[in-house]
Amino acid sequence: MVQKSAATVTLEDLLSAENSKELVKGLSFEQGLKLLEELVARVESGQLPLDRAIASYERGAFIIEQLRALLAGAEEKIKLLPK
Amino acid sequence: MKSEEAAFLSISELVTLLNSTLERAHPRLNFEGEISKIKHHQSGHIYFDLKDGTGCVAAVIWRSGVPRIKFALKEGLAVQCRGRPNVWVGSGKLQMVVESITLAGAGLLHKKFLELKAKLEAEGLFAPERKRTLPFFPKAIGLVTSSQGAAIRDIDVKIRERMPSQLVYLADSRVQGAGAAEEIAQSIKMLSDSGLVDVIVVARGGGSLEDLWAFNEETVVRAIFASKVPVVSGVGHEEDYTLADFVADRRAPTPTAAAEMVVPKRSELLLYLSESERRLRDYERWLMPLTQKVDELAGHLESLTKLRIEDARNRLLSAQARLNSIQPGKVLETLRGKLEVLGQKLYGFGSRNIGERAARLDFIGQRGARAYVEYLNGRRHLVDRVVSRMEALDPRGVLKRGYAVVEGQAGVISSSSQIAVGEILQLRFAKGGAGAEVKTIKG
Repeated sequence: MVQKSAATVTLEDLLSAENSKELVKGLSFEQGLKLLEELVARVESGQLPLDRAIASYERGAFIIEQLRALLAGAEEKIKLLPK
Repeated sequence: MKSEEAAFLSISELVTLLNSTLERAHPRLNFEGEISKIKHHQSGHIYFDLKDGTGCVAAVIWRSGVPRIKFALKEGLAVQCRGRPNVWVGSGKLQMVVESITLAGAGLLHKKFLELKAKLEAEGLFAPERKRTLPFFPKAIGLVTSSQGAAIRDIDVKIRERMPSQLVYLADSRVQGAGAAEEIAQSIKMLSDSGLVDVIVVARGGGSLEDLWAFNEETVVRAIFASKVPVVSGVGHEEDYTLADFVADRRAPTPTAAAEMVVPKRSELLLYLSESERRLRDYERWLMPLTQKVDELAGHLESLTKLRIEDARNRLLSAQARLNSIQPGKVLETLRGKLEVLGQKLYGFGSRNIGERAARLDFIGQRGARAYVEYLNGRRHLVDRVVSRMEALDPRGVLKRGYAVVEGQAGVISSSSQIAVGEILQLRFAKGGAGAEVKTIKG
């Protein structure tokens, strides 16, 4: 439940990763949100080279898609913990 | 004692005197007993009797003091009170005005609470530095409470309102009475060990100190301390503090507040995502610095190219002008002029006197002179050839060799078809001319 492996994913990792989608799928909601925040700020700064900006845009869009999916789960009832 | 007649008091004076004497003598008394014959009066005051095995006294709690009572007054409850005696003029009966009332044994419980708190605090169980932060958005929440209680309803309502998709595992536990503490502790351990949840909420609705007592038991406190995931306590009301609250990573004043603490609001997250998406899609804004740079460079390039074209055109124009200024006839003339000068120099040189030549030759030296003469001869020969070739082109040269030019009415005649019998033709020789009449024409 606690994703220690994904806890250290940085924006740099995300931008340079070949399998960025796999990386994003392994993120918790909070980590994804944090990366998204950094990413949007970087893109908006206009300081990124065009190819990096476009890569950032694509990855950002994918993060948003994943985070939405995490929020969109069906309504869960309270489950009884099996004893 | 001086006047027996003046010593009679009215009844109301009597009762008032006795009342004030009593009140002055005992402004505050602590007493305990069992409640009986309790009456909640319409006015809001509560009347009851307090008794023990042999004694009995009437008691009242004025309406203003009722909100401070933390438990339900019931027939037969053993209570400890603080108050003062009062004799009411209207009836002359004695009653105790109760200012505060607690369940008997509560004092003992409180003492136990403080002792355990001090002990666990000394062990470092409540240390602020070991408080863990809660996950921002838990994948699953472990809930320790009774499936029959009010807390589970409040928590469920709040969670569904904030995050309908939130997964919650309930470890159903009795939360009061004998064995409750052990069940709560066991549930916390099970959830912690299950690996299913990343935060645990321990909750119970409001109640008396006794009702909440399980959350002050050492076994519960230690189970919370040992949990592998953060624990939030939401026990009782705002003003209730239990040891579970002290050891928990976060203390929520109520079960509802605990739910708010562990679950983010989905609507807010979705809003944030939409906002992020909008910002990310705002190409125009984040591309602006780049497009500006491109525009700038394009401008530079354009002006540079214009300069180049302008330059090329200017060079072309000047070349054209220079080309136009060169006239073939003039060139020939210039060449001829140069040739003449050269010729004059050569012939002039030949006619100069010998002394001058010798002096010159001496000056240059024997070998140099020979080479010089040879060179001059070569040049002279070259000039002679050019002159003779030019002479060959001169029509007069041809005439000198005996040819004549014949001119008729049609100009210079080169064919017999250009003349007629009897026509007078003009003959031109190298020197002079003559007229001639055509007698016959041949083929």
